[in-house]
Amino acid sequence: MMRTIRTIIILLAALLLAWLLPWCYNFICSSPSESPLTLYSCVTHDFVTFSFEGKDDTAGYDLAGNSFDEKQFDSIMPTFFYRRLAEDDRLPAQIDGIGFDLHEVERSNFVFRSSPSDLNRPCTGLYQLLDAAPGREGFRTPDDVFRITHTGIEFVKMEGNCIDIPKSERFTRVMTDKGFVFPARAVAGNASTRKVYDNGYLLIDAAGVPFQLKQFHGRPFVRRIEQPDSVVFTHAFVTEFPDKRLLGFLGDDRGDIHALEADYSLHRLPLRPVDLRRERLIIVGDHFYWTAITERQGFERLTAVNARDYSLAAEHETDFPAAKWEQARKYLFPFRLVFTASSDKYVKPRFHDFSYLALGLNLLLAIGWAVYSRKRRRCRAVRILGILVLGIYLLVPLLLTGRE
Amino acid sequence: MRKAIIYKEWIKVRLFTPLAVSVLAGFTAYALLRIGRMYAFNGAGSVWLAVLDRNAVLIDNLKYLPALLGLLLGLVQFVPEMQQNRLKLTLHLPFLQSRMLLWMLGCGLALLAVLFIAQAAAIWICLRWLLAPELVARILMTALPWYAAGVLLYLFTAWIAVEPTWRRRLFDALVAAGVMRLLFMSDYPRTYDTLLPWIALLAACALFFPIYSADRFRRGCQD
Repeated sequence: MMRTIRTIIILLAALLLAWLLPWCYNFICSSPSESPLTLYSCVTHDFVTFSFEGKDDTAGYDLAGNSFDEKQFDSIMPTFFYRRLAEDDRLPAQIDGIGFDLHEVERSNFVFRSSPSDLNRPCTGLYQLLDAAPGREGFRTPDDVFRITHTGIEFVKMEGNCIDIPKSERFTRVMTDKGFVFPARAVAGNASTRKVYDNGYLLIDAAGVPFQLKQFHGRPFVRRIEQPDSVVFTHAFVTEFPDKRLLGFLGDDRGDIHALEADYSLHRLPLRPVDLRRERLIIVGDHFYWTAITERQGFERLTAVNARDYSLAAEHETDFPAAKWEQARKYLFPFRLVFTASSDKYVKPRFHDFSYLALGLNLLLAIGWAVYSRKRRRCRAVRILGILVLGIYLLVPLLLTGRE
Repeated sequence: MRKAIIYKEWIKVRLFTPLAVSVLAGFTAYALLRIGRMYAFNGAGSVWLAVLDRNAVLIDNLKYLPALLGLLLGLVQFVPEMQQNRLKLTLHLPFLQSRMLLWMLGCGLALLAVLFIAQAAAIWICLRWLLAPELVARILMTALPWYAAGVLLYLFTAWIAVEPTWRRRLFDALVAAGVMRLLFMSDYPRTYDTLLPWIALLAACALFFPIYSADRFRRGCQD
């Protein structure tokens, strides 16, 4: 029994070291990594990268490596630097044969972000529904919250902590009449009162059908969004951009992203399938083109989408090689134990970066241990084998506990 | 013999118990009153939205209290045993050594369980009156790792206290510190939900660590 307990203690110490040693290594050795911003230029019809290094006069460069000074870069990104161009009276009257003015550019610029850590996190299941027509005083924080159950929608009054039965029944009746199948698969909205207008909530029902839910003076507005056949939606994002063109974005079970316009028409974006629970999606849009940036560890895919007809304009993929300190880590540690990740908000054990390259160091450590413990016979072979697999993680606790 | 062990443990913790009850009751009352004041002065919405929008746990001033109680109980119960090697007498009683230690630890764990359950129940009753069940569950599930830290720190303190050599005590303390670091790593609500089974497994293993230290003590291990 004592031997079992001792083994458990040593394994626990080895696991803690598998977590803390690589953490210390990262803490000491990690260097800042550059993540350049690349967008599609509506003038050159190519991707251009912003240069923030401040070296010489280069403000940016394209994929072919051609560099641009500040003035040139302003000109090829007119929707980004429209204020500066307007001040210098250099804003073009039309691009791609389409005329535009300063206000149109200003209103149509947007940035949409979807991060795995926003999706993979514990949720309360309670949401605030603003009044979409608040009057002159602007949006006010509602005095109730709603939850969607298996049988309907329930509004809970914060004051008194009780269910508002008439309101709940009113909303449930309208939602059922519109064909909503309870419970909801996804609920997305923006409860901030600091916004110009309210698009309410986008709900995906149990059958994968999207709906819009809004509230006008305590009365429900529910709209079923007609979807293409065989598409089952899984993710919804409400957007409230200045130009009011979009209601939001929807993600389906095949990884496709759809833009939902204010007239409730759905448009599939020409992006490669995106795993929203693992990959970060950023869409930087302007009057002419949207640049969709799909990111995961060491990889970035850029897709330019024509903002007028949602057609594919260009695509580019980049692999970012691991930094030298990360490559060196593979020779030191056979694996890493981490408890937190940028892709979710949970603390849970996950083993990363298994590396056979650490076998060399492990072998040296195992030989060293074999020499050090040559007078002991008990469990010697098992320990040598353990060091060969776990390396320094097992050696340290064995050294610290072995001299009795 | 069991009754005698329980009585012996009671003698050791009889002063600690009312102190722990008062500290726990005082801190809990303060945390709940603070929520009550927030409710009275700023309205129900301020409390609800603090949990919903700002991910506030509301009782975060109780975060380290279970761990502190676990540590103190471990010290109160096992440091006297190690003074003048009194544990030797205990281990010479006609009772299986491991069972003896498990009974001693069981007494401490029972006391901690009563304290923690009473505190959690008081929090649940008060918050359930003010907040929706989802929010109360969110707060109490966030507090669960804090209670686990209390239990684990109690077991680790017993493990370290019973250990006869300082060199090994340092090793044990480093392991305990690593586990505690893990349990207080994140402040985000319900972030430890998926880790809870592993914490339970670790607590089950840690229950036997003091037995290992006692065995080393019995064998006469020295620095």
